[in-house]
Amino acid sequence: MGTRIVKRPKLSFMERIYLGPVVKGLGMTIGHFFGTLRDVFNWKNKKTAITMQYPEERWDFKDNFRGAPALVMDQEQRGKCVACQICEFVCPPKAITIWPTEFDETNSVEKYPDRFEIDMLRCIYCGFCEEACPEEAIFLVKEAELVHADKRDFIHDKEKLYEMGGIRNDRIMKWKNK
Amino acid sequence: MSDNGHVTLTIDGKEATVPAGINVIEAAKQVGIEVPHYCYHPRLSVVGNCRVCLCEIEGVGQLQIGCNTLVRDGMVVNTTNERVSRMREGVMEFLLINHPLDCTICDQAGECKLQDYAVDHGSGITRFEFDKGKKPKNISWGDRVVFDAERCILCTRCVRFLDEIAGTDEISIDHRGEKSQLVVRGDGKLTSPYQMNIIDLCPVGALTSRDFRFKSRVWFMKFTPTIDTSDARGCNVVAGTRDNRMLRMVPRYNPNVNDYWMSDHGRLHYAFVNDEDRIVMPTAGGKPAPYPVALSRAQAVLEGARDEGILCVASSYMTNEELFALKGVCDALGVEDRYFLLPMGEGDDLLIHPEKAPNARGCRLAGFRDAPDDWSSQEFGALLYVKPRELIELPAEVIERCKKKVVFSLTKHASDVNIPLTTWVEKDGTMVSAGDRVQCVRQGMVYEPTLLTERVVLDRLHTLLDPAFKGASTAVLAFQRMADEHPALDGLTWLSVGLLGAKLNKAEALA
Amino acid sequence: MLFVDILWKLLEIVLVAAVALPTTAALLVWAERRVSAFMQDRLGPNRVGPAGLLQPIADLLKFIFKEDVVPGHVNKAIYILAPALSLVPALLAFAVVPYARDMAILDVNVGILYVFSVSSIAVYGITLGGWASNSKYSLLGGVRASAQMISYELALGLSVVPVLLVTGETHLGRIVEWQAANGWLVLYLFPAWIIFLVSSYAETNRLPFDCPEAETELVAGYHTEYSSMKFALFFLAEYIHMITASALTVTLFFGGWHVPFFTLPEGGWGTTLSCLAFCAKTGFFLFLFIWVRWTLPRFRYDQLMNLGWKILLPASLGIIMLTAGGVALLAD
Ligand code: SF4
Ligand code: FES
Repeated sequence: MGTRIVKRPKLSFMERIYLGPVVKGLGMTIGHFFGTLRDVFNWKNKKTAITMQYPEERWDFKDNFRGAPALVMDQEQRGKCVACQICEFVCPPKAITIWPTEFDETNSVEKYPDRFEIDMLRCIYCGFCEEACPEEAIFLVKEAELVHADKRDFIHDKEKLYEMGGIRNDRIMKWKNK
Repeated sequence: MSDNGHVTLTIDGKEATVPAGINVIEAAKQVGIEVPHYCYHPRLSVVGNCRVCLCEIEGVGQLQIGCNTLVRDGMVVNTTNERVSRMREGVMEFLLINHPLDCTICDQAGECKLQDYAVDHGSGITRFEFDKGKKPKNISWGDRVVFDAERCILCTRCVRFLDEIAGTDEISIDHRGEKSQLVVRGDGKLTSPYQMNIIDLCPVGALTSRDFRFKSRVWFMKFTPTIDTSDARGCNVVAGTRDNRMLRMVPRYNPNVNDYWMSDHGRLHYAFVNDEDRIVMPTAGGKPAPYPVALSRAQAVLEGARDEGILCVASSYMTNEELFALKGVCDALGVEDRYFLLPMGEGDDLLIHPEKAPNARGCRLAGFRDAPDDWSSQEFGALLYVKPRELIELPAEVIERCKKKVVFSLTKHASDVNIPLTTWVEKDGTMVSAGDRVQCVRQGMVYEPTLLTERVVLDRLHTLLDPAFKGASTAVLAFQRMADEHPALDGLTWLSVGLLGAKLNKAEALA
Repeated sequence: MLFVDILWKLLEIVLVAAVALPTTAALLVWAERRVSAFMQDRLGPNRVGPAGLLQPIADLLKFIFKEDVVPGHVNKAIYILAPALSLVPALLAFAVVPYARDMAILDVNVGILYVFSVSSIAVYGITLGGWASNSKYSLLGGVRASAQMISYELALGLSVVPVLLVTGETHLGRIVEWQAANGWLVLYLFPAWIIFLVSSYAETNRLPFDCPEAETELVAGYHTEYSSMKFALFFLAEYIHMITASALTVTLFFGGWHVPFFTLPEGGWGTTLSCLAFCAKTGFFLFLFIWVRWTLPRFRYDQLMNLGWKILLPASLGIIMLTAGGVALLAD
């Protein structure tokens, strides 16, 4: 690699007085100006140029969208998480913390999370937890807009996570048949 | 048979010369080949019921179980070839047929041999299309062990341990075939003081510890090789900690001390480590004081009492390094009365030792005398007291007879200067266990970052009393200094003590 | 009688300098943002008030409530004076502009000279602001501003000389009247108007000639160290300069308040209509300012100087020659 000398193009007189391109440029911008104006007044019912008006219009997320992680219940309202802590282990930024505890001896599941916290300031929405969960209890839901005035609110606790996750039907109901 | 009781055989193409009379699993281990096994344990009798250790012995038609096949001269063993691995795959498939998919709630996950071998030797799929067998789960075998019959693979390690090692023979197998299940004799509660060893022995999650249950996944934990300090035996253990809290202890193999086992008492002897009431800052005159303030106060107290005499009482839970640091302070103050407290209790002829503190021998080594049964009614100007963490205490009237008090303790103690103690998992050091073995304790956690170990505190106090003194910067250096000084420790180094400990090199009776 | 006159004058000053100009400037800020947005296929600020029209008020409130930081390293007296120094000339220059028929705050017969003399003071505000800030970016901005303004003032001044030659007047009102009678001067002096336009862009530090504040090079140029209302004053000054420049363009080349092909009625109605015509024309030129800004990229500093000294100056001199020749010929 050596130095490459780029030859400057020789400009003609018309080009050098610069006015032609200026006028051309002005034409371009004013074209967009009126184009947008037309969109604003919805003329001919066309809407092309303007971007999505975010707070009023929102994305319709695809089903595989990776938003905030949330815990789900099965059709019988049982929280599916058994506190195996695989997600806590696999979580790259260590956003998840679980405090497991025991059911009484009559419950075949034996174990459930006493507290389950996801620090959304750490979460990177990688979806590893959903991938790793052997109980299909954690999912990344279509929830991407997390705005809070207090930092502590970004730590989602168990109640919040179950509320976000809602109910997902389970085909097998493994624990029920234990 | 070749010379002096050794035989030569070939394992997976590797030539191996091993002692005669051992089995194929042990022989393979000596040349670095792991033959999978569940029911075989080096200290238990061989039953050969799990069948996962199948190996091919050339010249023998059937595959043979490695645990029950003794080595012969000129034997040719294959542990990995096509035939063996297909057979192992089959054995694993059988074992997994009735094993529940409990890994998510099973404490053994992460250190489970079934998981490991399923990955290493299993086929990865199941062809079993019927309902798995159902057996009782979550059965309490007393207040220490929880049993899950579904997970049990019936290897009978636990049965054999209680029969052959602990000698209580409490478990047996009931029913036949697919319905086989372990039962505990009598009221279904275990009684052996060594019962928790079956939790470590159980290759799967059928036996779990009531104490450790669901506290933490093993893969989050930090494991530190150290020793048990519940009695003078000094069983070698691995301390498991997470987030700077102690969660469990399991025995660590040391043929000279505890073999593969430890007593339940030692195993459960750590609650005081995580005690929320522990003090984390010194107090001077009842008010919190940073270390320098508290130490200069202690200096003033002790120097002021020099003429009236000082009573120094050490604790047999201290490490040698700390005891020598305390000795240094006593020397600097000219203290005559140096004692240590030693709790005594019941012992047995397996592992439980009657001395209920780990380091009485270290105390004697550092020149402290056994505390008298009846203390003289002598009055002292000051008391320098390292309070044992439990079981024994200096009688109140002895404390009363001292005008001023400098006390090291885990929890709050009325005194002029109160300095927090640290527990043995929070520091490096050595102790002299029964049989005059020097063994290391190692730091596995930090209870509170502000805490200083007693060795550092005492060395600083020493420097205050005698500005010419300079303490060692680490426990390793302190040990070295000690070894140079004391004939009984002569020639020992931190490395030679190592993981398994070393004997004191003198005949001086410390016990 | 005299008293009423003074009172009326005062009222006029207040109306123009304290109400009309700042309001227009504020609207201009809004327009700038919305127009630029439209040109870039966006919508721009449309949340505060109808169509975002109250956005300038929100901006103003923000400026007022922001902390007024005076950095420790500045030359305090000059630092505080500079924003005022750049705003006041912009307001003063407007005084002689005939914003309606027979209406101007100040009726002086050397109107053009007055405009030039007053507006050259504006450079002090910027240069001193840059210098007093004691920061390399501000200083560079200030230096650029002074060099650029002095250079383009020449071309600006010379491009107006043909107007004087043709009309024979320096009184702005009478120049407009001349145009009402003889047709707009842009028809006679198109090249001079181009030079005037280009120079006025340079004089107001607007793109493509905003080298003094060139964000990509100088952070924010001369007002890097300014915040709160002081910054707002600089900001306001720039927009009022724009208004003044547009008003002058209209006055000098586009017939001021004059409406072609239509005779304004006598009396109040006529005056009002003339004022509206003036406003409309000025408005167009303001739009042009914005339009140009969002179309053209910034000149490099050396290109800017080249253009000023090597092209605009000789060209305007040439135009003066030609015009003078033409005027002399026609006068014969
Ligand atoms: S409980 Fe564990 S050790 Fe005992 S037989 Fe079952 S698998 Fe073996
Ligand atoms: S280890 Fe050999 S059969 Fe179990």
